[in-house]
Amino acid sequence: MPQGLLGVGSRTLGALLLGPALLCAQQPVSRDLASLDLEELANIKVTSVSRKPESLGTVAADVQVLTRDDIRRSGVTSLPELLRRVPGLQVARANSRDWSIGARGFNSASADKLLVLVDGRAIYSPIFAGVFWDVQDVVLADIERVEVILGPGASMWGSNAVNGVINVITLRATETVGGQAALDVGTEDRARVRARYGLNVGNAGAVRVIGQYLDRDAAARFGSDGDAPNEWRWGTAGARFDSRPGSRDRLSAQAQAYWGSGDRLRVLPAPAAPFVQPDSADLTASGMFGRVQWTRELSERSGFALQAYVDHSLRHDGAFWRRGRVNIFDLDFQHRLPLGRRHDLVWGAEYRLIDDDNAPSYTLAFDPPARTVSLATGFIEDDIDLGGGGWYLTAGARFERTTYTSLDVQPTARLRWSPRPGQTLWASVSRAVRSPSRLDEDIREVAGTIPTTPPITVVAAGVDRFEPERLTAYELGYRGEAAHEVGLAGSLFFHSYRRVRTLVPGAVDPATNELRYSVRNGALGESYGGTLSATWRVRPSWRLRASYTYTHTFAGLVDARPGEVLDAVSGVNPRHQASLQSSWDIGRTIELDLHARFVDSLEVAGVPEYAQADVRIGWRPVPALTIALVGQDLLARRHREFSSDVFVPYLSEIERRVLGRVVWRF
Amino acid sequence: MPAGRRPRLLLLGLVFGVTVQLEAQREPGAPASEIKAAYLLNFARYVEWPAPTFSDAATPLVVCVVEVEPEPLVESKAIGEALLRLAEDRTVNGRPVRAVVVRSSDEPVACHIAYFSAAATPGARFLVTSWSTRPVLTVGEGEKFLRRGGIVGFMLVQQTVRFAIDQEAARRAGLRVSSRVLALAVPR
Repeated sequence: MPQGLLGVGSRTLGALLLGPALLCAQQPVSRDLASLDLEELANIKVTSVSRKPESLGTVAADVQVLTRDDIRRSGVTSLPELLRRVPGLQVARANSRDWSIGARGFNSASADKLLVLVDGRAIYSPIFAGVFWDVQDVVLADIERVEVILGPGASMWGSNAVNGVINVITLRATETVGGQAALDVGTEDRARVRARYGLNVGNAGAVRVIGQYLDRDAAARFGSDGDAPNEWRWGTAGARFDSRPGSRDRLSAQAQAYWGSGDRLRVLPAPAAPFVQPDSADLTASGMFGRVQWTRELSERSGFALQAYVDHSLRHDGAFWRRGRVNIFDLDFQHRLPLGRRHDLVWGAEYRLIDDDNAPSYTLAFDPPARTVSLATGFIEDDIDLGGGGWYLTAGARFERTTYTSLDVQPTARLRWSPRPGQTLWASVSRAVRSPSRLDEDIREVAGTIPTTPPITVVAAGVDRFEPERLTAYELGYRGEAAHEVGLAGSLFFHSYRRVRTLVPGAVDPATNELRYSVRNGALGESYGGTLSATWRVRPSWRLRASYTYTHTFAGLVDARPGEVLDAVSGVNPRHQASLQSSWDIGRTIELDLHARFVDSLEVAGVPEYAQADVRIGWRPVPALTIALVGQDLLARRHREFSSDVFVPYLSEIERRVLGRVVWRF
Repeated sequence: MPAGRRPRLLLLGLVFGVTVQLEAQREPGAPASEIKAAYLLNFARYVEWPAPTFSDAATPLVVCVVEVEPEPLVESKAIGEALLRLAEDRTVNGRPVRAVVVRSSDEPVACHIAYFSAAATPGARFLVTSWSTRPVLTVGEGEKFLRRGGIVGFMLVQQTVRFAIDQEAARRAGLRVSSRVLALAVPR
């Protein structure tokens, strides 16, 4: 992972974690400037011109940021919903708790090609390299910003950063001193209670405790008036401490636990006639993590960050996945230093140990059921000022070795040109790999039974030596101020994937009557498209944002074996996606926010295109109190966004919903 | 986040880094962020606000550094930290000074002086524009900031930090700028 510690590509968006720490290097010189008069000030020579401003405007990648304000004004209740607001991300809601989130195509339902980090902690599951969005939620009010990089960020961020990186940065405890309590009551998000209290500890730091509980109604069942069995309850509690024990150091420590549960209904394969069995056991999932981080600045342009975290998660998913337990330990170090005047170097190393244990069921088993896997990785990256004219080159590579793979090198080269401040043109070539997961290597999943005599059981099975899926990406982009009060960002991409996952059938085993489909790196893929987004400040109190994303994907088999099939859920993405957002301040106390979106059909999944709109009206009668009314997906009583997984015997539809919110600060 | 609590954090920065000390000894001078922060306090001394601005002599003069989302620039963070430190326990013309780091998304703070490191972002423009007719001394970077409606723009002249002033903008805001400041301003 990585540069999560130093912020997006550390020196690109910069200033996120280590950045601020670097600043204290600019400590006062030996005299007290404040006592100087104007004339004296005018004669002081500037010793260290500040580091070059590191802003979005100078990043050679398609980066989108959601700020605290964006998050608050979105009116949403969960991280996946929030991600809908990011141009270029493809977010589909399957039901009340399951989501498919990806970018640039080639997302499976499990969206295994995104790296999702919360404060530098990778939250994708090492079992299948995707995210369990149902429990990996974040208390939105604690988020400082969400940075999303579309396209590969592997060289800087690490494995799984194939189609994009989502980096969630939460507020330091020192930024949340005071109390806040919030209550949501709604038709689908039936109740959400949230409380936070932060206080200063000594004069050096602060600590906060948070808690949230959410009770969400199930999505509607397609073709029926009632709800589908997928209610969801989620709770979390945690504490965070931040401190600056010395002028050059920052310490951060955090511990949090979460828990989620809900009903579900599946029809699972069974060994005997009628070869299916309903399973209505609840889904429960829980976990906890602890994280400590130390950053120190060594000089104005150099510093290091050291972070360690442990993460424990447990999932009971009925008779399908009886018990999955994962423990992760991760240690990460990053060091930034200048080399001469033109080079800004960052290097780092990370070690991660993943230990899992899965109780086998008839449908799902891993061989071996418990496994310990390690990942060792190092990266180096240099940002080079090419000497005038506003030309910069960033070159870097990540070297990664895991229990599954030998050494993988993921290089990148990014060229950017800023003809004048606030205007950036960039181009890049990168390689990234999606590392194998337990699913690729060790899974054994019974897909169903063919009721012949004798009956044949169809099984999907992982293979040893599954090769990492490889991506080579070519990107081109622009970001800048196109006209007065109009900001514009656009990117084009061409992604070429190799060794994409396929399934190859073998012969029926006469001893077991098993038809085994084995995982193979059997396909090639291509995707191309682009994202265009614009922001227009029409009036000081009114902002409009629009975005459009086009994605075309293609996959084909290479040296196809008889009966070989593409992984069934590959390529579930809309070809066209568009959104329009309006944020309007009516006077000083009222905010009106609209968000409308169009999402094209998902052909493979059989989901028709849809258009939807959200509205939020916020009122802040006094600074300590905010009252908001939120309407979501208002354009239809219910709509579909995604298909169900194969064992779920019904389709879910997302319902129109209304929510009232009160936030009180004390 | 109650911005007023920030100064406590700042106190941590009292131990000098070795590297920094060496640099400081080698070359007499100060980082630009320090100088700019000191200027902001000096402006407080030489600008007159309209009478109803302060309810009494104990009402603090609020100097804000605006961190404009979505781009919390390194520059504004450096100046913010320097300002918080310099303003500690300081009075200007007998009036206590309060330094505040504001995020544009935070609830509006009653600033008397507001510094913007970036004025091109919509958030900053909104504040600069909406404050242009209120008694707020808006300070930013360069001549460009003045064209966007700001009052004072810092510029680097022969390795020193200087500034330009838009007197008309100051008048619109209801501020009286001392001739001492005007004399030092870079002619436009």
